[in-house]
This record gives sequence, C-alpha cells and structure tokens, in this order.
Amino acid sequence: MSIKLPSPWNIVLPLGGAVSVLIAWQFLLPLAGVPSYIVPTPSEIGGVMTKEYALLWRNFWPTLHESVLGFLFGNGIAVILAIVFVHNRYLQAAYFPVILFLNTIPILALAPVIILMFGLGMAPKVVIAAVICFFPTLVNMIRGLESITPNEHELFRILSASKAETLWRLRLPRAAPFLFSSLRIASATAVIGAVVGEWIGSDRGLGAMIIQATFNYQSGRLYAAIVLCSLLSISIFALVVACEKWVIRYHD
Amino acid sequence: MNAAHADFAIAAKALDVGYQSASGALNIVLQDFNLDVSAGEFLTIIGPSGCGKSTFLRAVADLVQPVKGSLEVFGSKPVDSRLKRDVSFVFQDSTLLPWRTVLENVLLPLQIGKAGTDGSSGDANALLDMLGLSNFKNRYPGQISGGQKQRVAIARALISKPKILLMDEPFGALDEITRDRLNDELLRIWRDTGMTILFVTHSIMEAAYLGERALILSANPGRVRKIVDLRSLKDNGQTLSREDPRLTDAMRDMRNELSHC
Ligand SMILES: Nc1ncnc2c1ncn2[C@@H]1O[C@H](COP(=O)(O)OP(=O)(O)OP(=O)(O)O)[C@@H](O)[C@H]1O
Ligand SMILES: [Mg+2]
Repeated sequence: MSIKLPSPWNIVLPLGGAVSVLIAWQFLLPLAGVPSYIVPTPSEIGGVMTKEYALLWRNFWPTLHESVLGFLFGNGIAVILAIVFVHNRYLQAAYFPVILFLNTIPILALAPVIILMFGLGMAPKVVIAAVICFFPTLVNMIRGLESITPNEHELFRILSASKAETLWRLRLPRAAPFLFSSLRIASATAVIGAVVGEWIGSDRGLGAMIIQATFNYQSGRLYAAIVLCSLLSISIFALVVACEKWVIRYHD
Repeated sequence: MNAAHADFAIAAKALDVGYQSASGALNIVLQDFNLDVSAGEFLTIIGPSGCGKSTFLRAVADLVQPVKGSLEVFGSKPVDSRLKRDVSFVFQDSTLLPWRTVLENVLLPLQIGKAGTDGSSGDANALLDMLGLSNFKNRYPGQISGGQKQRVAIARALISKPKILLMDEPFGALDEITRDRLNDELLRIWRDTGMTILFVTHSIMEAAYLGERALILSANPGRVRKIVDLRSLKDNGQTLSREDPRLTDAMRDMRNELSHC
C-alpha cells in the first residue's frame, strides 16, 4: 500500500517540487558559473522551443510515429505470444529460453543489426522500439495469465468452459493488472527505442536532432529535443494510465 | 444398468480416487468407498483433515477421475452431469471474480457454453432478492462482507438450476451468527428446490443441524466410517431448534465417533 496524502497536497506538492527545481535551475545555475552552452536555463530552452517551433515539430512526428507503432507492435506480439505459450507448454519450453537469450543482447548492440536488416526508413526504428518493449511484457503477461487460482480454474471446469471462454473471462481479466504495469514501463522504453534507432541511422526525428545538436554545440536545441522526448513518454504514459483506469474499474 | 440406480443422485461402489504425484506415483485418497445418496437428500460430510472430503466432491463434479470402481451421478458418468450443468459447486473462499459486480458474478454461468440458455438475468435478480443482496448487486466483491460474498457464491451456484449442489466448507470462514443465519437460509432453499446437497464441514453442529444424514469419514485411507441417520429428528419438515436435546445427543455420538477416526 502506498501512503495516501490528503487530496490537495497530491497536486500542490509535486507541482511545488517541480517549480522549485525550475527556479533553482533558472537562477542558481548561472550563479554557479555553469555556462549556457553546457546547461541552458529553462527560459533559454523555452525561447528555442518557440523560435524553432517548426523544426522541432517536424522532428517530433517521426519519433512519435515510431514509438507508438513500436509500442503497439512490441506489446501486441508479446501478448499474443504469451497467450500461445500459456496454452502450449511444449512451445513455451522450446522457445522461451531462446527469447530469454536474445533478451540478453544489449539493445545498442542489436540496433545496428536491425538497421542493416530494415534499411534507413522508419521501419528499423519501429522494430527497435518494439523489441525493447517486447520482453518485459511477455514475461509479465505469462505471469498474469497464469495467476488464476486453483479454485477459479475448477469453477471454470465445472462450468465446462472452453479454452477460449476461460481465456476471455478468466485469464485475460486476471492478467490485466500485470499487463498494465508493464505497459507503463513500455511507455518510456518505446521512446528510448525510437530515439536510439534515430541516433544510428536517420536524419529525421528527435534522436537525429539530439546527435546533430550535440555535434554543433546547439545546446538550446539539444535540450528542447530532450524535453520533447520526455513529453512524448509522458503522453503515452498518461494514455496507458487512462486505459488502465477504464479497464480496471474494481479494487480488490 | 440397474433401474434402481437412477433413483440415486449419487452412487459410489468400491470407488478408489487418488492423485498422480509429480514423480508419477499414484497416491490413493479414497479407497473402497461405498455410498448412495438419494435424489433430494441433504447429506453432510465430516471427517479429519485430509481424509478426502473435498476429493469426493471433486470426483462427483468430474474434477478428478476415479482410479477404480464406479461412480454414477443420476445413473450416468460424472462427466455427463457436468456437461448438462446438473452439478454446482460452492467453494470455501467464494471464488468470486473481483472484476465483476455481484450481479455479473451471478450471471457468469449463463455466459459460458450453451448450457446456460435456460436461465435469465430475471432469475439472477430473483436469486439476489431471495438472498437479501438486491442492494448490493452493483457492488464489486471487494466492497462486500464475507457473508455476503458467500451468498453471492450460492446465488451463482443456483442460477443454472442444478440438481446437485456440492458445498465444500462454504461457511467455514464466517462468524457463528452469520453462519447460523446462512444455515437456515440454505435449509429453506433446499426445501424449496428439492435439490440434492452434499455439504462438507468441520463443524459437528453444522453437520448434525443441516443433514438428513451425516457421513463420517475416516482417514488414511478415506473410507466411510459411519452414516448417522438424523431424519427421525427432522421428519415433520420443521426447522429443528439448535438446543434440541436430541440434536445434542446426536452431536455427542458424532464427536465420539470422530475421536476414533
Ligand atoms: N490436487 C491434488 N494433488 C495431489 N494430492 C492432493 C490434491 N488434492 C488433495 N490431495 C491430497 O489428497 C488428500 C485428501 O485431500 P482432500 O482435500 O480431499 O482432504 P479434505 O478431507 O478435504 O481435507 P480438509 O478437511 O483439510 O479440507 C490429502 O492428503 C491431500 O494432500
Ligand atoms: Mg477440503
């Protein structure tokens, strides 16, 4: 159980915390002598964001597309594979270890290979984002689908429920909280995947922008791109949380 | 098949039931188990922990296969009555699905397979009414008490109009007052429906108060130790007082018998 604060504090405290950090960043960092080509102040970043609005927007869209598509494909395939594995122990025994092994390859080592395979377009970035989402969701989903209690299983057997009915009416609802907890994490990792893909082989997208801005010492633009990456993750996260609230309406 | 068999709701002859262990060895729980239960009977089952009470109910419900001997439910195999939805089960922990409201939980059996088409949400509302749950039907299981949960579980078991109701320590986790009340409600439902009820309990009081007969099992291997006939106390069809001296006598005998199991 998390500790619940009285309700106005739930909003006031995080907001206050963020504002205080921004104020400190704005006024203390220059006082400490940190030059703005290393860390620009929030107002400078805000200035770049309004001035270079069109450029940022142009690079935001590809990253948005890649991360959302990667998120959908990676998690979708993980869910389907988890359902297959739970219904076929033999397949699970044969292929889960292979997937486990593949998961140990660092995504940074895998990314160039994926770019080699899929070329320089949007596809390899989507694949990298999907790969990075895939494994945690697979593991969580298998655990969720198997988290039914022996009595629940017997209840469905007495009702002579088919496998499909047991899946739909018992296993999937049981797995939903497990799925959402990994989707929350995937909302950040999908963006990481897309950005990493763009670093390695792209001239578009926030990842490409980050690399170019770094080499050209355009720190305002660099930080603006970082802010957009984080906004993108937060938006996907918020969507996931909204879906979760809608799907899981009960409390134990 | 013998015609007389069909009159029995349940007939077990020289029945062996066991479980396969992980190493493949067969662990026999019930051995040479013989029992006839008439249609419409209320049979309570009591015995030491691990003697196979739940195992017997699970065999009747076709959740575990007999190793040897015969087990008939209404004259045919347990699997047939399972497929016909003649048998319902009530678990000790109610086993309600937490993501479904009370009403949705009761409707679950109607939403699975084709067997449920002869019941309706009207039936569900009537059952919830009968069990005093009308005000709670839109709540989730996490929002109701243990006694209410068990009532919902009973409503869910009754929605498919079963001929046999199997109850495995259904009120074991409830306080005594709630348990007494639910016992009386169960007796009323039994009289109204004419169902056959097999009721496993650890409470001698419950076993004597509810059952027309009380089955006492011994452990290792699980066998019928004694069947206590309580019908003479209950013949007039009226509810027995819990303080009735004849009930107290029967309980003393049962306690005595159980101490030798
Ligand atoms: N699924 C199972 N697999 C293997 N062995 C089992 C299984 N279920 C029960 N057993 C064993 O069968 C024996 C009888 O179990 P059962 O649950 O029928 O006892 P019980 O009389 O209901 O006991 P209790 O009063 O504690 O509920 C026990 O020794 C138990 O260990
Ligand atoms: Mg038991």
